[in-house]
Amino acid sequence: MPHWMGGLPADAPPRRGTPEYNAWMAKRAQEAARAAFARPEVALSGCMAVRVISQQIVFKPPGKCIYCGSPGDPKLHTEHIIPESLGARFEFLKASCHACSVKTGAVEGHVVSRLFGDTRAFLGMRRGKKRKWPEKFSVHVKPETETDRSSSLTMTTRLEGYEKKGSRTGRSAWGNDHL
Amino acid sequence: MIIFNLPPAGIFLGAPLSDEFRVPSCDIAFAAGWRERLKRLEGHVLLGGLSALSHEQFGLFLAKIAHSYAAAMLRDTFEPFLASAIRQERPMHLSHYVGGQIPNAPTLPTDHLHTLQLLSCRLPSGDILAAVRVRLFAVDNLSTYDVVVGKATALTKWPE
Repeated sequence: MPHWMGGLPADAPPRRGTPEYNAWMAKRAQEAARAAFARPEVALSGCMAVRVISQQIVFKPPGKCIYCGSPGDPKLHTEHIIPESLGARFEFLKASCHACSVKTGAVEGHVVSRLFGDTRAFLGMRRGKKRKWPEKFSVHVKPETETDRSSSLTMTTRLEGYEKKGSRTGRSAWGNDHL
Repeated sequence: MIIFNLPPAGIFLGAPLSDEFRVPSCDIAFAAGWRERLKRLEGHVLLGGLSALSHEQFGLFLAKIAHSYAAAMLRDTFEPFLASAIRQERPMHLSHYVGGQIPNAPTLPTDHLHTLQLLSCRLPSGDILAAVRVRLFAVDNLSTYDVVVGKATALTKWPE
């Protein structure tokens, strides 16, 4: 019913308790969050980049651990700013103590293997001494319905796009199919 | 490849300090030609898994990259925000400092594999924050993360 006949105006909120009302409220919350953004004045300085995987950049030692500040550890470790396993060699010499190095190394190793494992295999990035990428990877196939877990199976498939040597220039081999 | 999407760091949104760090969404990018192959398999196909990787570990991973880069470039001329979080001491406040791209600082296409860049951010309050823009696999134009690593001081020298 048009507004002039006594109906609700076009921009009236939907009835409370309906899915439309929930969507309307979510949209309002998003708009409010966007308006609250502090809009900092941003200045970008020099960019450090890895053009070639084997490129090495070394920073001078800071003289103490950059995480806990302890100067006493006689064996400060070299810190890889981007993990070496991602093809970068940004080395910060004698920058972390043993305890901090163990903590950061554990997190890095976990994230790199869980999140970037497929990418590293595809680009043929180094995998440590005497460890080569397998030619077969296991692929877990899930059924259409989430509830029918009993019918899920694990199968092995050969990755056709996998290149053993990989690109050493880091040139894109990916299509961005955002799902 | 799984790509995590993050909102800008809470410090820019005026959000209260919180010890919770969540990745609200993710995208999946396939290598060229994979999608056609995967279509031939029935049902949905997952490579790797999200369940074994916690949100917080991803936040710590970005925090460590950003903090160590800032320490290398600015030395100890800034007040670090993330050093204790990287040592996994609570409260970490990761969501306050680790986030996605700041909307008013766009990225440009690059032919570099990864890029790291320092950002100075002047807040309306007058404080100047040191942030690091982390772009892993930037050559593929994947997600950009802006991590606030600390507060600039009078001694902070920004590299040109």
